Amino acid sequence: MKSLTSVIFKNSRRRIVVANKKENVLGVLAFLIVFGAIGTAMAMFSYSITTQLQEINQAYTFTNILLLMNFFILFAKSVFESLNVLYFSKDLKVLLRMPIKPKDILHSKMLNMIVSEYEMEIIMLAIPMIVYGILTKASMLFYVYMVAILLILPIIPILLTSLVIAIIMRFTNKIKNKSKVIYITLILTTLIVSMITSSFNSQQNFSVSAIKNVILKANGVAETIADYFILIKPIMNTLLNYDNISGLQNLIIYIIENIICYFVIIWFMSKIYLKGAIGATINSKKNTKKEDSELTLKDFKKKNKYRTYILKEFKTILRTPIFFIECIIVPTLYPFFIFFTIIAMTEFASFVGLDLWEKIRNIAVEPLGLAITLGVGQIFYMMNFTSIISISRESKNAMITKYIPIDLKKQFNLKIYLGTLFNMVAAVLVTVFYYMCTKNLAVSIVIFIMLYLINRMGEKLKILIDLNKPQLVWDTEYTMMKQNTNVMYELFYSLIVAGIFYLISLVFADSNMFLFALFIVLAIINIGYNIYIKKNITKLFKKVY
Amino acid sequence: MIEINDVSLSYVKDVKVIDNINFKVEDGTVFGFIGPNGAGKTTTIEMITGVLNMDEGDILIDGKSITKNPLEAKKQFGFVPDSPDVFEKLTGLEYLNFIGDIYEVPEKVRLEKVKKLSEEFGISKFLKDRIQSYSHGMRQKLLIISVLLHNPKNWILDEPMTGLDPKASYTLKKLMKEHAAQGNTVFFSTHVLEVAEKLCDKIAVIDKGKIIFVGTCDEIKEKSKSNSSLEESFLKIIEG
Repeated sequence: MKSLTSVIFKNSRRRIVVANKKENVLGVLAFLIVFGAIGTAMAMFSYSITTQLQEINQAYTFTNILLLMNFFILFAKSVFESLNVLYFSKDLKVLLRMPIKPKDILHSKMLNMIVSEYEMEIIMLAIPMIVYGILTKASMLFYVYMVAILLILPIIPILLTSLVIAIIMRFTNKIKNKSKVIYITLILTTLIVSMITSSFNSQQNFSVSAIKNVILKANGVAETIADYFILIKPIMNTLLNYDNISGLQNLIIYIIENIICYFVIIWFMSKIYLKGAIGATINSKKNTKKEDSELTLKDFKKKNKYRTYILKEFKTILRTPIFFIECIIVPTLYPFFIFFTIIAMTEFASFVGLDLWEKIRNIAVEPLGLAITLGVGQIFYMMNFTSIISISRESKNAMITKYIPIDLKKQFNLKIYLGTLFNMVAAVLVTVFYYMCTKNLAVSIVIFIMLYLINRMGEKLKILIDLNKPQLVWDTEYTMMKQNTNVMYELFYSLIVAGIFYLISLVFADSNMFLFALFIVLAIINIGYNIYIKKNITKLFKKVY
Repeated sequence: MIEINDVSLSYVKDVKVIDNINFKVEDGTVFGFIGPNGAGKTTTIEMITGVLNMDEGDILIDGKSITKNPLEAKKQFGFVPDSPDVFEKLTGLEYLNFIGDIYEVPEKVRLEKVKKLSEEFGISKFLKDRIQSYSHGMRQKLLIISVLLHNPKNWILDEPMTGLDPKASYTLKKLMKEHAAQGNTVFFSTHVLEVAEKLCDKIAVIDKGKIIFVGTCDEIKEKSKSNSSLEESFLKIIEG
């Protein structure tokens, strides 16, 4: 089993071999810089939150929110992860015909899934915890518990979602359409897992007076959260009481919970895994009725070749669940979610006597407010992965870009199209919000134009990043997304852009001057990009086969 | 016509994977490209089709340079790569329409050709299914149909028989001969020397990135002083 685990690990972690050693070293260096920058940003964010919570005597809330956030991220991620690793991974065709027990395959795959979450946890959990520990002058024991929690935390989310998926897959005898099965399994798993987790929650109702009482009590918010989420209550209590025996007791309880869960669920899954896995590896062909397959002129409607190229990209995204979620759902629905949450919060604040609209309006007209508005737009764009995977998602099909008679520069521009389009949802919402705050139509239109320029600029850069290091060899779409380090460069880029907006806002006291200067900067950068891309287009596509 | 003039390529400095190769594929010929594994067949084909950029030399397709005038050169050929990787989220029909739109093939021509070829290759019933449900052979057939759809003068095929069933293989060989007989060019690589012997008007042998023979099957037998099969002559030439 040890050797199987190691083979699966190496296979899933393979990277494109870089022939040039110097290039390899530079790649590692760039990765470290980007990782460091994101880590620093996360540390600064944690510092700001912890110090603010310390002021109202609620510092412990931070660790509980962090654990909760990581726990839910792990749940969300493990739905895709389990489905792809356990059922749609290419290694299954090899493993299933070897004399290996289903239990051993499951152990190896589960261990790999758990270990693969640690990378994310370092940024999302370890760094904020360390900052928190330093600020609250935590003892060594806190860090020991933190490491233990970091190692254990992914186990339950991965096991629970895998179990639900295994049950669904067991009863899906014949996979006719892989994408449909993934969509159905995703929806069912999300519903079932949500029901399971919510059933562990208490039915406590919140009211304004109850919230006030909780806030007035020292660490009241932290305790309330712990009470509310029973599933991870032991680790929340571990960090809350790390300096006394209760911390250790809670940690032991959680470890025992995880060990029992691990062995019971693996045992149960091993009984049903094989049939589902074999079913997933079979490609069954749909027996279309003869009358359906009759071809007519209607089946061959001629389209403009550029339109057909974009449509091909769109269909690929739409019909691949992970691409659909990361490239369409997140960039188009998430801004709405944030938009309505902010409006609801501002309205709630007005209800309790705080006029946040007025405060926002005062800041919004200042250069800093404009920089923040544009920065928010950039942050939304950052969540759109359409362009950053535009080359990688094609896998071996990327070769076609080189031999079809469409200019490479034109193909580059066609690939920007969808990413830019999806980002426009966020651009419109940010502009509408700005208008709602300031009621200044002229500036709102300028903001929209600026957001469009930032959008185009960012999407071009994302494709340049992907062209520089395309990941054309991958096991499943999910692993390509997950192992794509280019996404980190995108985060780094967004931080730099937001930083530049902030710095320019410090230089100009006048808002109009700020917008004018920024417009010139963006226009120059966009023109610069165009010239660079035109001059180097053949070189840029060199790594695409 | 395909002309390969003094073409070289290196991945690592001073180590040439393709070393100054020269040959001409004339109109009206079926031209076989043979060589052992790793000899440089696919690399050469990828340079001809513009997938890889060469370091030195030039390749002309019907007089159009793939380096200086790539768009025009790419319009002159249809290419079937060695691995039938096609956009698997599209249906077979959508893929054929994609190629039809790119090469601006009229609707009526598409309908006629797709109907005829899909029947001949036995995939007409599956054209409305997603390519992800296709077997290796079906994908290969789809790629071949897509190449024939826009009727290019030059066919460039990398191991086209791989994965094809006997009937499809026979159909393809027949189409290749017919295409060349109409004054067009068919350039293909293969490991199956019997196929090359029966089908090709001319062959080129590549080994370690160098062209070691260009001529007819009779000429290679003469050169290797062998009267039996192409296989024997090939082995003699390769082993020096």
